[in-house]
Amino acid sequence: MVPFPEHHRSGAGGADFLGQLGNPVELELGAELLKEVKTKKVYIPGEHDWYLDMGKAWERMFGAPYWSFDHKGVRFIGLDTISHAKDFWTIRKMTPQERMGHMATLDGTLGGAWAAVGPEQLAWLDRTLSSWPKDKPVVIFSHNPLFDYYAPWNFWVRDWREVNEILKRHDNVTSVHGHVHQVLYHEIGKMRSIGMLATSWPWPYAPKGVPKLTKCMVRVDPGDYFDGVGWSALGMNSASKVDNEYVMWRKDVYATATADSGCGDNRNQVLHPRLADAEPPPITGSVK
Amino acid sequence: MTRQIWIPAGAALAVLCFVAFQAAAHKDKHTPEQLKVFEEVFLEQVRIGDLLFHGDADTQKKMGVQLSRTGMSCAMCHPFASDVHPHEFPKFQEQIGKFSTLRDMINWCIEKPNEGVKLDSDSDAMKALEAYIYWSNRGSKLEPGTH
Repeated sequence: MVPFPEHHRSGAGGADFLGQLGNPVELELGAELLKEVKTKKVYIPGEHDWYLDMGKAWERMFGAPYWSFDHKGVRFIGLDTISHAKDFWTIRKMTPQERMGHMATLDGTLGGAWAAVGPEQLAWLDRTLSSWPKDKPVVIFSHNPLFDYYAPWNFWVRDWREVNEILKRHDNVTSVHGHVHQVLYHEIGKMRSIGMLATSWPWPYAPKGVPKLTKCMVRVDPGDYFDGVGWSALGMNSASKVDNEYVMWRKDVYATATADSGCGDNRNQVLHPRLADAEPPPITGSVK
Repeated sequence: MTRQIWIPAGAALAVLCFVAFQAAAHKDKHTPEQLKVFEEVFLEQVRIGDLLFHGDADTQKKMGVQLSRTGMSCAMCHPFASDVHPHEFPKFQEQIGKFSTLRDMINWCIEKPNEGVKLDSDSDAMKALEAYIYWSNRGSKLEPGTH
């Protein structure tokens, strides 16, 4: 099982184009690269896969956007947490490319609560877990985190509480998520959440709402395409807990000194939502 | 001789001060409408800068600039212009290897990660980008020179 790259670079010298914006050529290239991985592969979609053609090419290539299967006493679940944007494009006469471009902007203002599971999938999740013993491990994959994390950047699944209502019946749940492009770890009740690194570019920690970080990722050099990005090796240990090891192209994953740390980079920073937003009060704060 | 020069000079200064005082005393007070116009002039630049920062193709075309050739926009790494720290410039900027202003850094980002065409440092597009970045970071404490 492998994480699916949300973005990738390609072309001679790595610079012909960057990003993964749902173009079938890009999706096919991603699938081609992953052919090297011979183990069973399962996929969940990210928003970059979806909003060019509303998931048509992705579903044709990779199947259903949510699923479950059992392997060695673990129930694995994949969720679609990205497809719930309300139609903001028709009235604005946006092209599919414009729609995708807007959804690919982290502080985009039109998508609303697009990061969500929705009632239909919640009912499916409830049914899927109703027969699973409460003491057996559950590993659940979602693109976005299943906890509150800075709504202005669309970082989190808006109906995560409903998801958690179902998951909290179980004693051993590990949520593995992407989207934030950061070293991130969080615990809510018995559910542990582990954030995956990006394969493209990292994002700064949000000015507010960052879970208490035991380890901060490095402060990234924006001129180095291979800095602050990477992948994870995840495994189930003998105590039926998921271990995670971050692997970066560059040697340092974590840093503590202010001058070297992504948490240090988040200091003395008062940020304001875009004028296009409804001017809520300024957001201040730093990593706790 | 010296006295002859200083007396007229003193008199001239007194006249100037009087004129200046008169002018100040008769300067019209700012009206709310005027202040609104000042604000709008600024916010218009913020709006243009926001569009440029978020990669808006029409705005770039209109202004004759190309900020990126990779598909990346500034906001893709800097939502709300976070992690730009405009209040920490000028400073020694490691990537550039010399003492740099915010405008130098904006141009570095355009040229290096975004692989676009750098802006004239005094161009309208540069001023608009600067306006948006400062506006979005307003309230942050001035700390020039901070790495």
